[in-house]
Amino acid sequence: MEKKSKVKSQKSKLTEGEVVHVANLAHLALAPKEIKKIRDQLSEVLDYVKILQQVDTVKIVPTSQVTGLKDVFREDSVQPSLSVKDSLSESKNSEGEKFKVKSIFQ
Amino acid sequence: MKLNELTIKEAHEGLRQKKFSSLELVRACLGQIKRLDPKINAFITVCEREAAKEAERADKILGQKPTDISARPLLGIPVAVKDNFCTKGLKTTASSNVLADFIPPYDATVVTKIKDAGAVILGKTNMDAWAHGSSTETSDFFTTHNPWNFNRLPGGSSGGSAASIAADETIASLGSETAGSIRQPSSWCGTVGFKPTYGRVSRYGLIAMASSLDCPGPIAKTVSDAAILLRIIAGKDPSDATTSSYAVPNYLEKINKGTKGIRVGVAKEYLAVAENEIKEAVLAAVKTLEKMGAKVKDISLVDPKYAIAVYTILQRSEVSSNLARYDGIRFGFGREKFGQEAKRRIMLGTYYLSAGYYEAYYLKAQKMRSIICRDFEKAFKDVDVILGPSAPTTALPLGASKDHPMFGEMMDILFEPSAIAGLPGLSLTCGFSAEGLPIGMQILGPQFSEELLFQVGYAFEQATDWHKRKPKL
Amino acid sequence: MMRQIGQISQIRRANYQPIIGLEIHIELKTKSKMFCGCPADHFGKPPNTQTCPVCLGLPGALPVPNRKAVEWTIMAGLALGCQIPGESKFDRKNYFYPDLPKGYQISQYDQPLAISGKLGNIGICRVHLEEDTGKLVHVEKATLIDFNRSGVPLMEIVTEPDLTSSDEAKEFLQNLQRIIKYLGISEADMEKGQMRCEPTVNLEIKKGNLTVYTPLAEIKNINSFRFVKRAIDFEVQRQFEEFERTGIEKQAGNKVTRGWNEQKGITILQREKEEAADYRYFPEPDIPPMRFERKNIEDLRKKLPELPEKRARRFIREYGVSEYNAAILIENKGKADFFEEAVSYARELEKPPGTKAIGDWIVNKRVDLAKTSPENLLKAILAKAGAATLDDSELIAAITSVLGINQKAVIDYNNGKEPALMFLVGQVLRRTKGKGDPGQIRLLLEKELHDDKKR
Repeated sequence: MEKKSKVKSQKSKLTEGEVVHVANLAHLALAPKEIKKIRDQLSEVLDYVKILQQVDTVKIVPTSQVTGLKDVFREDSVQPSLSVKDSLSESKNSEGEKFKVKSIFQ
Repeated sequence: MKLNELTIKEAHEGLRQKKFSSLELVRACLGQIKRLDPKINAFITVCEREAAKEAERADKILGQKPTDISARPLLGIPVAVKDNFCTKGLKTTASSNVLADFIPPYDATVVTKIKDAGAVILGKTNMDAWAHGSSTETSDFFTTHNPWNFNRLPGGSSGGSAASIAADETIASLGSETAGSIRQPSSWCGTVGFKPTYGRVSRYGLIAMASSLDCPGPIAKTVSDAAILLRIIAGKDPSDATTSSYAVPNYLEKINKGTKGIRVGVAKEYLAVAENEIKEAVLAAVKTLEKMGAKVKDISLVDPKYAIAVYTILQRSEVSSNLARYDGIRFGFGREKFGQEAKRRIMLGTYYLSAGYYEAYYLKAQKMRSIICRDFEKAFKDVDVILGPSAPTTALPLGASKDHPMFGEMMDILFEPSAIAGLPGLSLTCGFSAEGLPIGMQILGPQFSEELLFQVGYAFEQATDWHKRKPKL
Repeated sequence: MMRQIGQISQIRRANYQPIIGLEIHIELKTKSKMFCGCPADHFGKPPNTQTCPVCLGLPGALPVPNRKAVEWTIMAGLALGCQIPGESKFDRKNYFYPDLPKGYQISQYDQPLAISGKLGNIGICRVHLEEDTGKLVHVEKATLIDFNRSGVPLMEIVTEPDLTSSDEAKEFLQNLQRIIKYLGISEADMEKGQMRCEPTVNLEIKKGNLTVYTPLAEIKNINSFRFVKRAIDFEVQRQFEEFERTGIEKQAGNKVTRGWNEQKGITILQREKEEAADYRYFPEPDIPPMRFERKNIEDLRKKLPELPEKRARRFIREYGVSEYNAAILIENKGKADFFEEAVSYARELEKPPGTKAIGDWIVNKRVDLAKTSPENLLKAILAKAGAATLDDSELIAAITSVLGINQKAVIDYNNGKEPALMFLVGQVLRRTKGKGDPGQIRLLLEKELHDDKKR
C-alpha cells in the first residue's frame, strides 16, 4: 500500500508559513517580496507535478540509480591530502590554520 | 579556410603534417574570441597567456617526437570547457555569484583526461548558473547570444560551449547535461552534442546539479569530432563510484558502417510536441535514413509530460542537497548570493524531501522513473535507435525564460525521458527554419549504444550538408 | 500541564523505573577516511593537514566508500549477534552546521548494515556506518573549524531501550568497548572521542493502576564511563522531580536534547534547533547500493577473533582459573594476551608454576603489565611462590580420574581428533586447580592414552 499522502488534492497553494519553514530548512534568507513570488512559483510547479497522481505505481519498485552497479568500494589506503595552504586558500575567513565562522553560540 | 574553423580531425592532421603550429591555431581561436565574444559572450574566462604557453609546449612535443602525437589525439588543440568543471588554478564559477572568485585546488577527471590527451584549455564557458536552465539567462554574469542571430538565446545550460563552437571560437568544447543541457543548446546553435550513457563519463570535479542524472559530454562541429572527444573522456574513474567499467571502444572504428538494416523508431509522442517546421525537418531526416537502408518503424513511448514531472521532482530534490555545501565557510561566498532560479530550485527540492511529502513526491517520482526506464527497454526490443526532434522550438528570443519557473523543463521535454533513464543521445542539425535558425534532431539508443549512435549520426551527416552551414559573423 | 496536588502526592509514593537506550558512536581505526584517501587517524594532528576536496566538501568532489570500514561494521554487527541483511545502502542526512562541510552527512537510514542483535540481555536495534564531522573550537566571539576529523568512518550502534539503571549502562558500555577492542577496529577511547555515548532516558512511573512515562531526554557531550553513570543518575533524578512538579508526560514531539556539563555535574537543556529535526533523508545518488551474499558474510564471521566472554570460558576450562579471575583477565585484550603468553612461556620451563597460579598472580598482585614481561613475571612467581607443588602421584591420580569420566574425549582422540587432547589437558588442570605444567600433563596424557590403546 502506498502511504497516504499529504498532497493537497485541489490547488497546491502553499501558505507563506510553509514557504518560510522550507526556507529555514534550506538556510535561505528570503525577503518578504521574494517569499510571495516564490510561493506563487512553487505552487505552479506543484500543480504541474500532480499529473503523477494519475499513474498507478503501487506495484512499482522505485529507481534511484540507473547504472545497475553495486558494491563499489575503494581499498583502505591513504592518498595524499591537500596542503593546509590549499585547503584554506579559498576561505574568506580563517585563523591559525583553521576555518573561522562567527561564534555559533551567539 | 581559417584555422579556427577547423574540426579536431582537421586540426590534428594539420598539426601532424606541420601545416601550422599549435600556437597559430590557438591564436586564430583567441583572435576570433577577441573579435566576436564581446557580442556573443560565450566565455566567462579566456586563458590567453596560459593557452599560448600550452600551445608552445605542444609545439615543442610536435617538433620532437612524432610518435607522441597519435597517443595524444588533442595535442595542441584548443578546447573550451564549461565553467562547471573544476580546473586547478583556473577560476571555476558555475556562472554563480556564490563561486564568483572560486579557484579550485584540483582538476575534474575529464579535465585531467583532456589535458593528458594534450588539449590546450582556451577558457571557461558561460552557462545557466549551476546549470539550472536552458537559456544561459540564469547566468549570474551575463547572457550568451546565439551566433546565428544575436537576438536569440543559445539554449542551455551549456550555452557558452555550444555558442563557442558555432562561432568557431574554439575547435572543441566540453559541456555537461542533466536533461538537455548538451543537446538543447546544440540544437539551437547548430552544433553536434553528445549526451553519453549515465556513468560512461566521470562526474568527479563536475559541480553537481542532480547527481543521479549529471553527465559530461562533448559539443563539437562534427559527429566524428564528438566521437573523438567522448573516447578521451569516457571510462571508469576510481573517484566516481557510479562510473562503469564497461570497455570504451574506439568510436571511429565503425563510424562509417552506414545505416543499412538499422531499425529506427519514430515516436509520435515526440513529434507531437515539436513545432511544425521541426517536425517536417525530422520527418525528412527519417526519409533520408530510410533511403540509406534504415528500417523505419512508428513507435509509442510514455507521454514525455510525465518525465517533466519526474525530472522536476528528482532534480530539485538532489539540487537542494547538492547546493547545501555552499555556506561561504571553506570557499566562495554565502548563500545570500544565490540567484532567483537556484533559490527556487533549492526551495522546491527541500519541500519535496521534507517530512510528510517524501512519499508523495520523491518516492512517487522514483517509481515513475522505473516506468520510464521499462518503457525504453521495451521500445529497444523492437528498434535499435529512436529518432526524434531535439528542442521543440528553434532558438527563442532573448528574455524568453525570464520568470518562468518551468522554462527549462518545457525546452527540455524531449530530453528528459532519456536522461531519466540514463540513456545516451546524439543531437545534430537536420535543417534550418525559415528564419535561418538551426533545427536539431536527436538519436537515442539503449545504455552504452554510443558506437551505434555515432554510426547513424555520421551516416546522416555524410548524406546531408547541414553541418557545413556557418552563421554569418 | 499542571495537575491536582492530590495526584502529585500519590506519585511521590509511587514507584518509578528508568528506561534507558544508548546511541553509541565509534570511530573506526581504518588507515584512510570513509569516503576519501585522507588519513583517518586525526588525534593531535595539526589542523586541516588531513583534508582533500572530498572531506572538505569542495564543489564537484565525490565519495567512494572504504571497503574495510564496511567489513568492520559488519563484523561488529556479527560480534553483537546481529542479522546482516542482504541489502544495504547509504543515504544523505541533510542539515546545516559549520562542522558538516557538505550540508549533509552520508549515513544510513532505512537499510543499516546490521540489525536485531543482543549483547548480554540488551537488545541491539541497529549498527550502521556514517562519516564523522569536523571539529569545532570555540574562541572568543568566533568558532574555528578543523576538518581533519571530517569523513572519518563512524560506526553507530543503537540499543533497544532495555537498560534500567546507570550501572547497567556503564557495564554495557564497558562490555561493548571490550568487544570493539578485541575486534581491533577501534581504540574506542572515550576521552579521545573515539567512542561517544548518547543515552536517551525517561521514566516509567506507576501510580495506582496507571503507568505513565516522562518525556524522553537525549544526553550529549559525555566523554567517560564515569560520566555516563553520573549523567544518567542526574537525569533520572531531574526527570522525577520535574514530573512531580509539572506532571508532563511523554508525547510526540516533546523529546528534548540535554547537554552534560562536566564542571557542574548536571545536564542542561540545549538550545532547541530552530526547526524540528527534519533531515530529509534520501538515497545517496553518488554511491551504488551494497548487496551481500551469504558466503561473504560467513567469511567475515570466520574472521572474528575469540571474543572476551568466550575467552573467559576457555581460561576457566583450560587453565583452571576461577570465574572471577577469568573475568578480570579478559578485561582487556592486552591483559588476556599477556596471561596467555606467560602460560605458553611457562610450558617451556622445566619446573613451571601452575597456570592457575599465573592467573591468580596477575589478578591479585595487580601486576603492571607495562612494567614487566611474561618472562619476568614467571621469575617473580617462581621466586616468591615456587613451582607448582604437585607430586607425580597426585597428577597421575588426576589424569586417571579425568580419563575415566571423559570416555567420549578418549574415543575422539583415538579417532584422530587432536582437539580432544586439549580438552583433557584442561580437565586435568581444573582438577588440580591449575597446578601442574600443561606441557607435562599433555605428555603424560599422551603416554597414558597410548598405553590405553595398546591394552
